[in-house]
Amino acid sequence: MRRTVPILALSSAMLLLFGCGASSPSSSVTPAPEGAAYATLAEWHFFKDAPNQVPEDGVVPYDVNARLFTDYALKHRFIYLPPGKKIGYEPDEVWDFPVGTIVIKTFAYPDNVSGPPKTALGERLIETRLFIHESDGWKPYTYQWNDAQTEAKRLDVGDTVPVSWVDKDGQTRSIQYEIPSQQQCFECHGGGTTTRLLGPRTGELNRDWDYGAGPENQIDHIASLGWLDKTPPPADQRITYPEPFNRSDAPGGPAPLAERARAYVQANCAHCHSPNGNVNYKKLYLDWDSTAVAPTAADGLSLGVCKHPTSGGCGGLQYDLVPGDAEESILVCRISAVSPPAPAADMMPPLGRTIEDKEGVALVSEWIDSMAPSMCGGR
Amino acid sequence: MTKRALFWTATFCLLVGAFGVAGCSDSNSGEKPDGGMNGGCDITATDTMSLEQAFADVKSNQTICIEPGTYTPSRQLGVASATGVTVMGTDPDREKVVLDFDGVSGKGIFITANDFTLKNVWIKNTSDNGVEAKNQKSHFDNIKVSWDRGPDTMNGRYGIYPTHCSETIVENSEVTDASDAGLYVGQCTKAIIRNNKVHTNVAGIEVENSVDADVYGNEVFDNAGGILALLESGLDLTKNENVLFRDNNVHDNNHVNFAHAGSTVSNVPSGTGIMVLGSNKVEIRGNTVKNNNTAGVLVVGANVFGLLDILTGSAPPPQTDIDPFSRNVYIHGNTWMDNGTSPDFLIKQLAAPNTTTADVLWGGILPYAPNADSDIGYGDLLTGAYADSSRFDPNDDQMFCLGDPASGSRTYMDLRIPCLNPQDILPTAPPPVTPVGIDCTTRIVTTPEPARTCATPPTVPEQTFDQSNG
Ligand code: HEC
Ligand code: HEC
Repeated sequence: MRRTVPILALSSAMLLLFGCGASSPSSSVTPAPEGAAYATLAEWHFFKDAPNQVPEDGVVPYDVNARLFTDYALKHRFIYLPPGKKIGYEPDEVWDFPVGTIVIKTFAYPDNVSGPPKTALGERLIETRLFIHESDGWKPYTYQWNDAQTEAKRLDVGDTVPVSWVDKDGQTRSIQYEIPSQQQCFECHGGGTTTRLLGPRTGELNRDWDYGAGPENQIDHIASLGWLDKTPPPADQRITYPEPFNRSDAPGGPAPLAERARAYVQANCAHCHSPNGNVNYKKLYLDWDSTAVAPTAADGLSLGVCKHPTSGGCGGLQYDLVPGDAEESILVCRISAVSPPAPAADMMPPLGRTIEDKEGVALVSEWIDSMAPSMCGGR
Repeated sequence: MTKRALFWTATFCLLVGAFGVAGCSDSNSGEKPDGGMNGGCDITATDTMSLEQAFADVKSNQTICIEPGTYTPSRQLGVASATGVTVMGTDPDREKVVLDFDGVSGKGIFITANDFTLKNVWIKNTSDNGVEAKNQKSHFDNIKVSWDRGPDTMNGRYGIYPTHCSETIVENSEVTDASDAGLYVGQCTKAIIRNNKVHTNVAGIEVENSVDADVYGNEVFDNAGGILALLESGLDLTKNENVLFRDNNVHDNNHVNFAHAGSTVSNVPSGTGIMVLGSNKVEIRGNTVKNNNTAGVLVVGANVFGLLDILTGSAPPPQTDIDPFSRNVYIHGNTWMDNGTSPDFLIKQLAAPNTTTADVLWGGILPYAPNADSDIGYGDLLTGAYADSSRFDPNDDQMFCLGDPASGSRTYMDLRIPCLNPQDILPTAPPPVTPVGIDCTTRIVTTPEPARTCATPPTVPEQTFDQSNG
């Protein structure tokens, strides 16, 4: 282990001297050799100021329209593209990133429970996850932050971290946060040769971000860096997922309820429940592209409308989604289930959540209640 | 009934020979396969931390050895990208290598990488499935899955759960207390389930939406339903076909059904020995079927659950993606004893005014006509299992076969299902003993059954299903 240190130091020094160091600002990032992710996050040099999540030049922050719920964790997302490479822009799908790309996602909570926050950011960082595009596919890693917020170390086996924070209603919340093991990353991101990114797609990225000069469209910004292989259509002609909980200020007024709910289940469920998802065999499809936005029983089973579950019921209910009746819908039963008292196997998603996403459950319930009622076969 | 059953026990082998019934038994019960591709251990786990680290570090074709002890992982273990991995306890006594998942959400072990072997471990107390393999090839040998609290709805749903597989062997293992099926094979092709002990689950062994399954030498008892061949709507593979249940001991499956309300198996009547639902080409032979209070064998259409729904006041779910009828079911050469003596509530309601049923209930639940000669009831229901070539031989000399009543055709068909050659899946397995009449290696029926004439079917009283009865 020790002996490799000088070699690595030397190679990064050489990069600075002879490589693209002078011309490309991204050169300060020091990717590890394939298959040998560093033991600490600092060695990658992604951040000028990691505890405050200030990225190096060339590491581009982004946000998504519909976010994954992870026990109310706050998230910071970044993309590092190797110098001279281009991203394949996809109007519909997840973008096609070149080998060498690294996507970074930090999970944090407000640091507002005891004493003044340790950092200017005011957050307690818990873990920073990476997806690294190696020549044989995407590799997941996570780095766990220490309490002092001075260092993050690679952790492959997962951990349970007690976390408390004061939420927006002034309530102190305490949870046992689950850092997934490397194996568990695959449960949502796919396994083996089919490991994939989930967030960076046009519908998720088509939104504004302040890169320092006021709000700017993220995709336009990325295009202006010369990172895309083609010129994307203008922002208003791109697929855009609505923000699930934004009822007011979307351009042109709030997005319809059904679309916001569909964006929510796309972000939180579709990586398993879609034709290409890990649980496609249950034929419950919750991705943005599945059938109509406001389904009826006639649309078939794809959104779970009047679909009898196979193994996993919930609370004795009969159908995954009963239009017009959220309370009778297994879908709602399973996303509101918390174990105990519910059987742990009832909880959806089955990992990444230990408490209820109250706003999410309310949104999905409101959506189902708003559908034209169906008796699901004369129930 | 008992006298006949005893007769059968005594003369079973002889009759098998005399009537040319395929005997695909192989010699490898109790076989001890080798220690995996590598023989030795690449990584050895001695405590929980090193076990979790082993699953994180394991590379393709490596073996993780687990020393005797009790391990308490704090999260689900898995192998997602390394292929050809073997995980094995180092003590052949599986109860000495305990993986206790109490309080951990998720499954015990979840495998999505291809070609996985698990041996000599005891997996306990998982909140979801004990071990799940969603891959092509897997081998489970000498493992145990159980829950300390005993049978309980809060237990994980499945014990051993290979799914989407194309080659699987589950053998010499024990599963108990699962709140769905103890040992499940679903959406698989080519699965061998042999020499296991499966008890006190809602369903013991379940073959669901699969093609080519060979289930033999298992002892299956104290479940609500013992062995099930089941077709479900709403899954990828839309048929359940070529299923062979042979030489199993299926007894006392009278446990109360403790499944999650609303799940498919929550409808399985307690007291069911073997159940065939919506499946095509199923052979049930050489089994001992004893003391199952609702019925020894229940052959029904996949919409029978819908039927129960009608009785309980709700309609059946839509099933447009499957053929719900059980077809080409062949039941013969089994030993029957004391089945159907005290049927489950719903079946009893359907059977009224009779208070007992029979060894075999055919085609649905009611009406069935008791066959005085054989003491075996059968009958067609709304499910229509009748309108095909299914047949049931109460004894092989007095054959009873069914044709298509509508067309009047009574063609005799050879309904035997070829057994699977374990060597196709596990090259190190001993070859199957050349069975009478069927070549397991090529899966071809070599000796046709002797030509016979179909007996005139007994008249089944016309009955219409009257909802008001319910
Ligand atoms: C419960 C499902 C789930 C698990 C488990 C999970 N992720 Fe993700 N991850 C997602 C979803 C959904 C997104 C996209 C939405 C977002 O960014 O909020 C995402 C996004 C990411 C991103 C940003 C790039 C992308 O794909 O959008 C990274 C990096 C990442 N995850 C790494 C990991 C690592 C490493 C692990 C394991 C330690 C992991 N994830 C486990 C669901 C999951
Ligand atoms: C990490 C993968 C994963 C994610 C993410 C996930 N699920 Fe599931 N889901 C499963 C698995 C596996 C099953 C099948 C086993 C079971 O029923 O528990 C399932 C089953 C279900 C079922 C029963 C389906 C049927 O017809 O049998 C419903 C309803 C469901 N999930 C809803 C959701 C919803 C809503 C979300 C998003 C909020 C979600 N799930 C997210 C893995 C996932």
